Amino acid sequence: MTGAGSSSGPDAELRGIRKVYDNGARGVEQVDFTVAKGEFFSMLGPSGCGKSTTLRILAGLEEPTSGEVLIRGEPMRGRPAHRRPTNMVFQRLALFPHLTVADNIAFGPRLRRRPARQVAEIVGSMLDLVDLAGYGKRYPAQLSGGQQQRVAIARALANEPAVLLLDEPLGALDLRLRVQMQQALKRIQHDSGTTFVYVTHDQVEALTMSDRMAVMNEGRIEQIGPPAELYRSPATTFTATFLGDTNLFEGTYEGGLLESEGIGVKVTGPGRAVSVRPEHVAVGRGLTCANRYHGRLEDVIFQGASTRYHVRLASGVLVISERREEAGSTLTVGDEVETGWDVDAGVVLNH
Amino acid sequence: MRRHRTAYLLAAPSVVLLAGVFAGAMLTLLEYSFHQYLPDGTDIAHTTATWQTFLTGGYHWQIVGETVVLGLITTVAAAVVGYPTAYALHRVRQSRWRYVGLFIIFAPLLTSVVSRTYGWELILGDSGVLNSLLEPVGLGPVELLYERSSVVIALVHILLPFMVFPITQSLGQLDPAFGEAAGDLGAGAFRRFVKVTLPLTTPGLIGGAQLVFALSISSFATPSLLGGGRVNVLATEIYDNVNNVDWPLAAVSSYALLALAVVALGVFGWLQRRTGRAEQGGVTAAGAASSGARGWSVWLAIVYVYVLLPLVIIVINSFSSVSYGTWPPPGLSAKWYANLFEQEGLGAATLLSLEVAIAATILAMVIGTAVAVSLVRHRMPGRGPLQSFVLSPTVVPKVAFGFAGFIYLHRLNLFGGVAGLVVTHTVIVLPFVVIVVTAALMRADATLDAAAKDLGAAPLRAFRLATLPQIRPALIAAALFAFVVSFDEVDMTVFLLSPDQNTLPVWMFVYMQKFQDPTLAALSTLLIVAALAIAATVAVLLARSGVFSSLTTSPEEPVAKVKEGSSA
Ligand SMILES: Nc1ncnc2c1ncn2[C@@H]1O[C@H](COP(=O)(O)OP(=O)(O)OP(=O)(O)O)[C@@H](O)[C@H]1O
Ligand SMILES: [Mg+2]
Repeated sequence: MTGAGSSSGPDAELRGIRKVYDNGARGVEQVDFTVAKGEFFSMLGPSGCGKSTTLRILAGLEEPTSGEVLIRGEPMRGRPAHRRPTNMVFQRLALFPHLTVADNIAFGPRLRRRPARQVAEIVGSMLDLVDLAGYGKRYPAQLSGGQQQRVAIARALANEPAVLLLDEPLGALDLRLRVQMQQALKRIQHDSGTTFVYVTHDQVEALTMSDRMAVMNEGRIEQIGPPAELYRSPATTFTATFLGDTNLFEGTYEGGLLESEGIGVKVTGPGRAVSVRPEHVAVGRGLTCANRYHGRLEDVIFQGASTRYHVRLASGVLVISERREEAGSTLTVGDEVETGWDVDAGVVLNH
Repeated sequence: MRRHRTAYLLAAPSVVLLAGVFAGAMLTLLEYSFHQYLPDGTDIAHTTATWQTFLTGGYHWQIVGETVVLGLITTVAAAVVGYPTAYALHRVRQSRWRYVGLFIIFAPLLTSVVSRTYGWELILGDSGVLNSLLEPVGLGPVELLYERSSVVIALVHILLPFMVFPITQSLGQLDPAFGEAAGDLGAGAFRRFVKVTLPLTTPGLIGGAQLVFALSISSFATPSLLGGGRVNVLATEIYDNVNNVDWPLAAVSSYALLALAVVALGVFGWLQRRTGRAEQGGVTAAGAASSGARGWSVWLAIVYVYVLLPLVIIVINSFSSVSYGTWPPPGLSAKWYANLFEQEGLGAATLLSLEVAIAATILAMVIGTAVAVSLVRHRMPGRGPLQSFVLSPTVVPKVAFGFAGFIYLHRLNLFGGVAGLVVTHTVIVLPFVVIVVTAALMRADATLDAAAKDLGAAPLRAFRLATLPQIRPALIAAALFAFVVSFDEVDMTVFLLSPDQNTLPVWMFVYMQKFQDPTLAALSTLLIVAALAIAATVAVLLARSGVFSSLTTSPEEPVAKVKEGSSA
């Protein structure tokens, strides 16, 4: 299937996808995006926002209520899962407990009636790819969590899908294993050259692994773009607050100033809110930046490479600053301090 | 509704069978209850006369009363025996002995109702086991046979598993913290039982009582054989009315029995809901103290004897040298086995029973599994009513359905053939298959099915490759259960056989009505041996196939000890 339609068009395209489940539950409201060939595309969002639903619609395990799915330019309407060039790594792995690792991996190729010798070759190369050579005869229950994870990925890749769909594949692993597996996944994606659509609710994972990512909320896409772009220029308050920490000031704009909770914030243009990342917020005495406020240092949190400062302004608003340099090291909790940032450090938001 | 086509297609065979056979028969029966046969043989349609006769005649109410009384006494007795038994089994610490105990309690289910009834006749008869024990100590002889008491004793024995099973289930949900609570003895243990264990197991107790009551009011073979004509309940009344060719009265009696079953279902359901609400106290731990362990063992031993005694007596009696059921047998011989093989029509009856049971089992397994998949894996409109419809045959007493089938098959000109027997037996076993398979499917992981489809398996193949291995033990259990129920069926089948047809249990029933000699003991012994052999084979098969069903792919699981290449 990989050979088909290897033109320069996108590998996957979702147009106006909406899904209402039979019981009336809203799966997704409106989802549109395209994924380029060989891209690592992530969907990030809080629990229940519709990530799995979107993935299952791509896989053909769920029919959209309206909208269209295209894989390599081909409309998928009415095409069930078993006839789509996609494969999925499930949120709960779904390895067949009654089959060995090798038989799990061979499941897809055998259904496609590949000759036995070719099946053995595929299994061998997949086991090599996921670093599990020699584990073929074990049963899934005889593997560690990380190993099971890799079997699930190998099984899905054995069909040489046009698009590999991964539904929070690392969600159940502990932090150390997760970081290891993230690297392994990037390597596997690179080596296999497969297009990945990756679902997670871990923002660090999405930010570090993706070529591009979509932030989802309540069944809708909030914003799509490369991780750095989404982080630096969030388009909505949801993206700004969901990706990393931020100081968000909501209020009304008038003449270059956003009036918010008793303070005025100088901004670059009109909008409903402004987001200022903690790393752009200075703290100390005798600041020169355009936005400057007096407050009391409420907390100092040492984080290793950086330090966080919580400054309570007179108006009651809490401003968070994160500094790399040791500048603030003379400050102690309870001090009267100044905090502030430059006008262009604030990202103006309209939604 | 294109979206739900698969769901409806899967349900269709069961719906067609139930509508065509079950609903059709029951409606025909209803129509028949509005007939009246006059003494001169004229048949008047569209009249409520028969209903009036039934409802105003004191005799019929007496029979309804006797049915209810028999049901109540049996239920209470089964609860009194069954609850402590389930509790004692729950306290057995070694799971191996617990399984042995459960097997003993359930073993009689594998033998025919007629066999078990026959065993009790041997025990309770005038010169039976009981009187041979009582007389030397000056307590006998007691006349138990052909009285309500003998019917109750046998019914409790026959229905005990249905009481024990739900109670065992609800006890299993209690925290089995035996050791933890062991220090808490004496009055504390009793109070904990009353305050915690009893309330938490009440739903199981009510569930068991519901089953036993429903099955005892509709039981036919036992009151008919052990009541000796003196225990007149609705089930025997229907049979008598049919024999007296008063079909409208039999139809009315059938609906009276059905009404009784429905009322009982409602009452027990209401009880269940009431206690269900009261139970939400949030207590979890209820360990059994180790006090009185010997007392419980003695109790279990007594129950095991009670459960197994009729079977043992049958086996011993099959080698008796005399033709009457006296105890102990004066001598040994194998002549009853010889006599058995000379019986005319026995081979044909066995063959027909096997034929019907195998066909009904296969049919029920195929269409029952399909409708179970539809019920569990699909959320189509009409799912609730579909489920009720598929399970509805369990509510209808088999005697009533048997008589309904008798009239209905006559109308369809299917009476006397194998097809009629197969479809009616399928109706009876279908709900059991659906219940067992539905439960298994709900436990099975649906994402495995999705994974198989995702990897390229068409729906049917995905089911075979991903779901079937998960539910295989349940399917084997369901098939075995369906086979046994069909193979042993008497209450319904007595109505459905033409004069030149016989099934094995009906042959036994008729033989027991006419003769008392141990030929039946010889036959029952062979059946018991066969049942035990089948049960053992299935147990071994299940143990083999179930090895990997318990293995899950939970990622949190630690690395298991690995035996490379084992069981590949
Ligand atoms: N099979 C289903 N039937 C009915 N409603 C469903 C079904 N699956 C999901 N939903 C509902 O659709 C919405 C989106 O669910 P979805 O599983 O796509 O969320 P998610 O973003 O993957 O969440 P999570 O991060 O927790 O996995 C939820 O409100 C959920 O309750
Ligand atoms: Mg999900």
